[in-house]
Amino acid sequence: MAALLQTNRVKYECSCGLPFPLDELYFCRQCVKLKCVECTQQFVDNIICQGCFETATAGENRERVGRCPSCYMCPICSTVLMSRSINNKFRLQCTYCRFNTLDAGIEDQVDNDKWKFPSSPNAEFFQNIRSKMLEYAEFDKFEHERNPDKRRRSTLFLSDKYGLNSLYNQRKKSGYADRPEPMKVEYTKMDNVEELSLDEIMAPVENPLDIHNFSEQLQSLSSTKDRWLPEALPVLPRRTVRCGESENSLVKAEYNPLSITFRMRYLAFTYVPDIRMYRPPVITILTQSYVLIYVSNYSNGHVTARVTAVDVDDDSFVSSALNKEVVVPLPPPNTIQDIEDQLQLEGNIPSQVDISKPFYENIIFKRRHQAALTIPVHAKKIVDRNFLKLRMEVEYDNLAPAIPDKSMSRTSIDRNYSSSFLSRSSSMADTTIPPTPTPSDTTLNTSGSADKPKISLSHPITIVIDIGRTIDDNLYDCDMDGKVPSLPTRIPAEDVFA
Amino acid sequence: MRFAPDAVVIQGAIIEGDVTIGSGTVVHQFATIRAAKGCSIVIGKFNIVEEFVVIENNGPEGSTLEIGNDNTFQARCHISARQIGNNNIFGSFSVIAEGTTVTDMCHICPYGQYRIQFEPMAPRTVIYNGRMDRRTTSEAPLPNQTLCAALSSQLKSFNKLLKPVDPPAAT
Repeated sequence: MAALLQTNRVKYECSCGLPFPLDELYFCRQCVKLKCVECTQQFVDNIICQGCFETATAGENRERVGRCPSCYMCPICSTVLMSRSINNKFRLQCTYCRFNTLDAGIEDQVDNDKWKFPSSPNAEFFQNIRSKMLEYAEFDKFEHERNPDKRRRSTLFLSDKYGLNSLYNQRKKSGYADRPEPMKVEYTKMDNVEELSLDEIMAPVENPLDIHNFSEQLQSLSSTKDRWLPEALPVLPRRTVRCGESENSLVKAEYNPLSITFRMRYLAFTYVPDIRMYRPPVITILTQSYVLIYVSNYSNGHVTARVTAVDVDDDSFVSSALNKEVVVPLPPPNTIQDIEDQLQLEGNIPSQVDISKPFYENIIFKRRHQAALTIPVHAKKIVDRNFLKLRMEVEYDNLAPAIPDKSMSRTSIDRNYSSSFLSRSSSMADTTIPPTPTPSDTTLNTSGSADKPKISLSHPITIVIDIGRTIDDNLYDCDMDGKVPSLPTRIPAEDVFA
Repeated sequence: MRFAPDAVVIQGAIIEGDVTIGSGTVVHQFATIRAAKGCSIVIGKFNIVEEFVVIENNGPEGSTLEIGNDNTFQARCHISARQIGNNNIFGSFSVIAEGTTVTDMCHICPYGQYRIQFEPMAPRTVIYNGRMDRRTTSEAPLPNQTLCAALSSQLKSFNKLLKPVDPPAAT
């Protein structure tokens, strides 16, 4: 869904300076910073196959070279192959690109479990090298055990009362083996080596149809020269994530490798408001256009976001006319109340928007935890990709999202959706959590009145949005083939999913 | 407009112009089969035209869009080709542009596009991942006869049929 909604267009700057979309960021509560893949440590927790959900230990995985023994991967598009039965026989098929085992020149099998593909001609060579290296490794280990650290003095005194001490020493040495022989490499030394002649190399090709490049191979898949065989599916690791600075765990899953719940999961979207662009606008140099942005709060408490646009000298950054800060107060989400509003008010929910202020200094849409802003924008040059830079300061009115109570075993999203669906009457009481200051918020800036301390993130978050290309005012927008498109007679895919 | 007696065209389908639909073909609701003035569309036997499919012939006057047998037009595809053969499968949201020719046993995956005008598409191609072309020697798509029969009996029991309208007499 992220690829369809293009959430990768809005990138937040992590505390290490790299841009990432919000769903790829974590939040460390001790450092009070956003953390990304680069500034966290990742440890492999479990190993799981995405096709058959089979788990393996690290040792088993090492023997299988990181592949599943029973699942296969399409060589063209790298998706999992599904087996399909046709006329009582089985065939592996790709659901994305329609690749078959028939294309690879392999007939339908009667038994689904025993798929054997002809291995590459060099597979035996690599297998020999691998077994030889294992022999060397064993020998080195034995050598190391045989010559231990001579500084160690054992206090154990074995008296040679029954004459068994010498036998005991002999038995220890019996596993002694010679150093393994190196592999035989067949090289013959030739006395007369002919000079390299360019005529052989530069001779014209007899049959150009013999040489197939990548796209030509795709066209004639079952010819015996270019066989694209299915590969064994590589196996995926499941990771625990730790902050790089303070060694706190950010994401830790349950012990059972097949469970989808987490012991702890501190993701950025439960702490920082989510900014999403609604449909890329038409940007020109001469006329002003508006970028429509949704700001949503998915945390457990009330959040005030202050959004301003930042001017950048670069030509690919867009200049915006938004001089002031837009203050967006966002309460936490409450789906039960939303559904009840829809049922009782029958869709006539009153608008929570102040119309008196000008269009772009204000929020043009607001519904509980979501608000929409428009930002007036001018392009500077005709570029393929324009960028808009925003700065957002976040203030928490409740302390719950910033540093939740340790007794809360579920994350904020679980509390809203799962528990509240079970107990409708107590849902209202659950979502408003009374503020309880905890002693560990010395790293946050506190400001505001003495009654209700407002916590804000110490640094504002920089957000860069990829808006799209500038459209030349003089020309119409052309299709990739160079034709001006006629009026569309069908609904484009983007409008359907809006 | 002529429909074969076996053809099942559900009320709600939009059919305009000189359209001939062969026996066994099933046309779902909200499908649009549109022939411009002077042009005609001939659809063969045992085709399946799903919802929101647009089959149109905007070509020069006097041209005929001939569609063969056993084709499947999945939901929301947009077809303005010059000629289509037999046994093809057109996936959802696919686009076949004007002036193209499609031959037999092709498979166009969802969101696929084909815009090459003056050369007919080779038989048994598969277009996947948007626009990439590939030819396979894999299994041909199965004939549609049983599927059409099952669909037609199901649809007839719950929907009304569309009656063909005679073209207005030339004045």
